[in-house]
Amino acid sequence: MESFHHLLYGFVEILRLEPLLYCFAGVFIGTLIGVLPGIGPVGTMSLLLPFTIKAPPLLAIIMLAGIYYGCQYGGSTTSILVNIPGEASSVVTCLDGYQMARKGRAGPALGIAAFGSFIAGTLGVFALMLVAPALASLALRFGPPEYFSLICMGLTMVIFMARGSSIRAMMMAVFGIILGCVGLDPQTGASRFIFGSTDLMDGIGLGPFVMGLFGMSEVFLNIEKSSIEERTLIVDKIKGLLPTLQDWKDSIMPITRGSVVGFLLGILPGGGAIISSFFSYAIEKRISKHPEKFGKGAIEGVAAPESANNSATAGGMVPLLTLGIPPNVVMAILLGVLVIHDVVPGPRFISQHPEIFWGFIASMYIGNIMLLILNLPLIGLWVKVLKVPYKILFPIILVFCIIGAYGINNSTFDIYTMIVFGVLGYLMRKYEFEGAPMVLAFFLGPMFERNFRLSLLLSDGSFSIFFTRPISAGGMIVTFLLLVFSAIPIIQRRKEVISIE
Amino acid sequence: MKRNVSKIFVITAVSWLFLFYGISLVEAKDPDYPTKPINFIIPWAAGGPTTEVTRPFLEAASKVLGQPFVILNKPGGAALLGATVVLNAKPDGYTLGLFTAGHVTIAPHIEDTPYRDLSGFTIIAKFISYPQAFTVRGDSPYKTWQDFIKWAKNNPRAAKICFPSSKTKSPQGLVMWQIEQKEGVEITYMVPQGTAEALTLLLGGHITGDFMALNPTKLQYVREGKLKILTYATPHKNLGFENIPSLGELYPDIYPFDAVMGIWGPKDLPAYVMKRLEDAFSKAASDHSFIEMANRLCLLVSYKNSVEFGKDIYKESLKAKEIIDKLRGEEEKGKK
Repeated sequence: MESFHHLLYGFVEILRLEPLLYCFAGVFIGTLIGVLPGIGPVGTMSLLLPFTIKAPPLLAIIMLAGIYYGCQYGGSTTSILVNIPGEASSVVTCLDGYQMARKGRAGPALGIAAFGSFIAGTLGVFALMLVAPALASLALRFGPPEYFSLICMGLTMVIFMARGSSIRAMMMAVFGIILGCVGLDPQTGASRFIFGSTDLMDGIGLGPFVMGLFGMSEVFLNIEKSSIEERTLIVDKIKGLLPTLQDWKDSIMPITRGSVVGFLLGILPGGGAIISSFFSYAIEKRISKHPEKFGKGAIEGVAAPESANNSATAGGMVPLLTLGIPPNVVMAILLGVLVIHDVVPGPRFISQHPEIFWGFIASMYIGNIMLLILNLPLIGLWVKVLKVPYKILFPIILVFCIIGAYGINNSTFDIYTMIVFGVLGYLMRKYEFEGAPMVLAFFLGPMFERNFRLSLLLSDGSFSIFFTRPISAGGMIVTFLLLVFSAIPIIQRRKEVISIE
Repeated sequence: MKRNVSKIFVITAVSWLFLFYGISLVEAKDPDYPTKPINFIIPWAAGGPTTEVTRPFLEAASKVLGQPFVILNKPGGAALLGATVVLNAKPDGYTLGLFTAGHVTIAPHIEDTPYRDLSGFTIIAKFISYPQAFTVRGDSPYKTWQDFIKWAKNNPRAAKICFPSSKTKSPQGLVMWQIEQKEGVEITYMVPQGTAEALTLLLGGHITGDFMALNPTKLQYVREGKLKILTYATPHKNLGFENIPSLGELYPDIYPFDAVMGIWGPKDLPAYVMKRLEDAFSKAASDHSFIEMANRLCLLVSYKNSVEFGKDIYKESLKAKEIIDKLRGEEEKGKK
């Protein structure tokens, strides 16, 4: 196949010292940044961009992209170990990953996250290589109505994410949507819920929000636990460092599904790693034969999202490299790097700069292998972190969180945001309200509104636009069906209650 | 005794006179500037074309000044946070910032910005213009701007055009509004999330056109014929658009809000600071690596010093206020 010839050519380009060094530097930094809460790939790539100006374009994007997908490997580490998401895309990994750690299964959780990331990352690059141009033109057909219906589907998945009561999950989702409204109205510039603060004009930051809601609240909850034995007991039961055969059997399909979902969602603008991880978790839970396992330490709940967020990185490169359109902020930085080097991605990119395209693809295969080799031995190290007495560990965690929150935007306001949501998250958890639906809704809410309004602007106010366009209509039907199927058990329970009475 | 006293008196008086003369000599000479690195606030996140084109410009300027610039990205508050930092900085010349005319001339009239007018700032220089292009698909039925206007007249609100921000917040919005008034057309304003989304909407055929900054990706599409530019603001001679009419040619009496990038500092910067900065910036504007980077990013190098640029901004601010007031009046009447 032609692609494989090109790929071999790409490998020839990069199997040399310099490209490999850049690749390693990128993935190594990426892993570290992924582990550290707060500062993420966007910030790191922006900071390192000036250093890549003097380098040739291929090396520049190899390193910067390495930071991005490397980050998705490291992000699960703190989620699993201490229930603190390193990135917003690692939030869902907290749900089951941390529960696995509490049962002494941190090793297998970290292991399946690493392997899943590797498999998904490699599959993603494979897909990128083969189907990129075809998918790109499909992505163009997604206009505001199509996105709107997709987001409707996403919001109904909120219900699936709930571990406990659906009603409470919906309450949290609504609250999340309200929080998402804080900021400036994109169409008119009107300010909402700003209370005169310039800091809030861009809305509540996703990073501090997630870190506070999950990370700080976790620390507060643990400090509150008077019994020290509660923490240490769990840790002593560490059983094994790698996933067992049963783990693999359980995870292989979630990994595959996660890879596909992640890749497809990564292509769509606005999507990326965050949405992919949430969607794949919700899908796994929905189609699982034992949904009640989710939220208590189901390995599928780690395998799927961790795979999804990795293949999403490859998916994100589809529109960038084939159309020159970056689907998210990270890809926009990669675009910037290329433009600065006088390489403009677009339809002619692959034919005009084959050495860059194929060299880049080849580097991602190698990068994923490097990451697997980097991350697996680290598992033993990370698991030992759990043995550190909590009274020493939690101040360190707090310091990292605060530095991380500040590091996102050089803003002390972000630190305050994080603390506020830390307190909120603590209260929520005490009263058994969940954070995950709120985060998903917070993230999707603004997109929901924006696409809804843009759609209505396109249709001059007519709602029919959502149903006359084929993709959008399909999405709305699926949403409707999802809602109906979710409502049925609730109605049945009601009937039982009524009939008992 | 008397003679000794008068001797002491004379000696003391003369010594003081020498002392004062010496001090006056020292004061008459300007203090050295700069003697340490200068902080430069960019109110957007790092990694974008704004930072990347400013970087070589500042490097060139620092060669003249003898001290480096330290770029600090302070995003937030729709670019107002960075502006506030500059507003409140000490006027010693060691804190300067980047701004675009849009959020300076337009924003104060709309929101509760921390500043109501420009009196808190010293405008130092302009160095970049963003060329704005009105772009449609290559296969669209409008071959020229006039075709488009004719169609838009017969189909009010059918033209779906994307702008970089809301009608009242972007220079393009205000220009388009003036065109609407003049030609008697009505278009639908849409605000996508960034140029990437606008490009997707345009290429995917979801919208009629967009009126946003030109960027290298778009330019490539134009060169291949997939996109077409019907008109543009800011004559950009390097790109070979001689046969496309500019907005200035089409509508000579419409106020062309320029999308610029400029440098400002807090008010009351000392004159010797201004002199050195203007000298450095005017030289930096002809620096080779800066011009090359600007061309790569489809930005037009366009230097104006503080006096000229200050006048422009003042005029634009007044004009923006006039149009925004009219717009508000219309909204209240329920027209839009």
